[in-house]
Amino acid sequence: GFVTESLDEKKTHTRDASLTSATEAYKKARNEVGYSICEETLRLLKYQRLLEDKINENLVGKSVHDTCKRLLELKDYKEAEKVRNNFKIPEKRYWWIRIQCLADAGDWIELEKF
Amino acid sequence: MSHLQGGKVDISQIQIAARNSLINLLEKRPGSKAIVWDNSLAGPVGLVAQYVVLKDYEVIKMYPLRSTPLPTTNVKHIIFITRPKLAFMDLIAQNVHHDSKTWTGPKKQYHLFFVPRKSLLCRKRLEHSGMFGSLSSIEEFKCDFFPFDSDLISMELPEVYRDYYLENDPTSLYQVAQAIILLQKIYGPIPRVWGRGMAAKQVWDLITRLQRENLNKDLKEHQSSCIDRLLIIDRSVDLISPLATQLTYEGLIDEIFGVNNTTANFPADKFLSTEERSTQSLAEDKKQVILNSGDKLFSELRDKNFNAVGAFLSKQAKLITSQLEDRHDKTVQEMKLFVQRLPSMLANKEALARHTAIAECIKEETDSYEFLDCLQAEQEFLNCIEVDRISPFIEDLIAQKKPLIKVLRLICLQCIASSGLKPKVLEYYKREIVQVYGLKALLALTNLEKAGLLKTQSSTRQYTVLRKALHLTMEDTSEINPTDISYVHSVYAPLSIRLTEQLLKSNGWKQLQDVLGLLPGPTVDECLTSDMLNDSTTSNVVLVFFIGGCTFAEISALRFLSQQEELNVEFIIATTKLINGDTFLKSIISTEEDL
Repeated sequence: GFVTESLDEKKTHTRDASLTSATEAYKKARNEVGYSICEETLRLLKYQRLLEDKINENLVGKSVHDTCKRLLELKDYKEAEKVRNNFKIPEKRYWWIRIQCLADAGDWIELEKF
Repeated sequence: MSHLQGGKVDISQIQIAARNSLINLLEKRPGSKAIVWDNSLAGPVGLVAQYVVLKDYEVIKMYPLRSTPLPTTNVKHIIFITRPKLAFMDLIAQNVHHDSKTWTGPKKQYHLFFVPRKSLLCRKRLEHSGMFGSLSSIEEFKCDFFPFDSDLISMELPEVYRDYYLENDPTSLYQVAQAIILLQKIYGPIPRVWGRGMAAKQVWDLITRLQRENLNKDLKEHQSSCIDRLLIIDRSVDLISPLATQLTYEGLIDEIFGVNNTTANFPADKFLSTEERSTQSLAEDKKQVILNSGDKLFSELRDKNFNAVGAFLSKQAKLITSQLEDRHDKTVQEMKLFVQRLPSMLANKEALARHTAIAECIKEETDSYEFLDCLQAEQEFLNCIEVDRISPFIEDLIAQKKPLIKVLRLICLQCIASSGLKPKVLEYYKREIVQVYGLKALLALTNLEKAGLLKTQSSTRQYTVLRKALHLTMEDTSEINPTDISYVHSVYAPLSIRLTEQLLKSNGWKQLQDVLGLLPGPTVDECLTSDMLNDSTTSNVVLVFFIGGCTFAEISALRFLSQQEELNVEFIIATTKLINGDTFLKSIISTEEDL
């Protein structure tokens, strides 16, 4: 547990490397939740870099939730669905994001359809 | 400073002692001065010595301590006044270095005053930076307490709980011990002491040791004491009370607008009449109001449940109007009396307008669905309803990405109410929070776990038992004419104050044995006077010391108790910091860099 603290805090500088070691540390400490959260973040980073090339926008550092929201704002529903499935966003929360995006955009016609 | 006097214990003595300490230090350095403050001190020190006072001692400039170079000032002395923190030493070294290099006029002197005590570590740091020699003097500005009101003093140390329970650093406990000794020096030794919790015990042990060491120096055993009993409450004993939303007038002001050093800022437009609103420019969009018992109306309002405030204000309004209109058919004599009273009536009218405006600002917030829903969720937890499941309300807050601190506050409350969350529930919250708020939130969660605010369920249900045994949740109590301390949160009676109440009623821990086993940490129970009779008869001033902070609602609850005849006590409240759920959690989840 203690090791991870220090490693995590460095994450802004040398993201991937320290994240990997944090993942390892959580594994050693048998902290499964911590382990899977770090592992997921690593996955997210890789995915975001891929996406950045596609949509030409800075995504690294955004959370899963915000990434998905950004995609919905860009109306890239296919990619958003992919995020939802890959990162297991619960049904309920996914619809919250959708509704929020539509409301923000003032798209009342789409909102009506709910 | 009349608002500090009035009780049996004269708090202004603390103020005078602190002010003299500062003035003494300033007088020793004749000539013009500039003071550079560490930001956390500039506000509180104003409670001890206002700027006008400092001006008399040739202080002509004041600056906050920053990493940017000091503005060029032509003064003889530059005085840094800071807490003994390492980060500040680096800033001071930078500042002194830059200022002495660029300055071409007559030679300046640099001084450093530590509040309240020097630290060897800081000294070493300065030596290391090479600037130690440039400082003409290093002194102690002995100011342990900042006087807030006639019954309230604060050390203004926001990180005591964090330091001890998260970082395992007992330094601030030493400071607390020193502060209590100081109180005993001013007001006489306190014969009866109780306390509960790890930090409370450690502080008491430190006090006993420090006093033994100093025994020869100031032996004042026979000095009569103004304070009869001391109760040390360690915040870790009651983590629930700061998490519950405060519903008293002063408590709500703190929750919504924040009270710092008895001062709060409100949106200015609420304080203007309709005409003023259209004519005045919006140059100042904040209205600053000083909140202490110097304001008579406020001292009557502060401890009331907010639901009783509206009625009280309108009653006052009617009273003032009738007073002002009552000037017809009068003899000359009566008219003269009326004119004499006029200024005070007008002042009352102004105070009334001010508090009506504040109450409107609060009402705007407390009427919102967001506030009410949150309160409802909170009260369900406190009543142990659905505490074992994932709360759909919290789920929705996360999904809408509401402020993280609000979410964490509710989760922590649920955790305590259920005496630890089910592992599955905790895991779900963790995943959801990190997915929405990002990985940084994981650090916040880790800190909360280390500090004991988040945990998984253990076999004993402490809260369930405590709730029953101490009647922590009360149904059908009046908010307007309260009969029980639970009015401060409308449903929930602060555990800390319930303990105090029980302790004073039975004059000891004995009757509380069943309950005590459920609270963390050891007990302190000392009787320092050989004269047992003296202990139970006349004595009735109780000093309640909160290690790790206390809330305004807790203070209101204590004031309520002091009005109950059966207890016959007067309280002096000392705390390391005034806190609410948000500020308390923030002090724990912030990372080193934010501090």
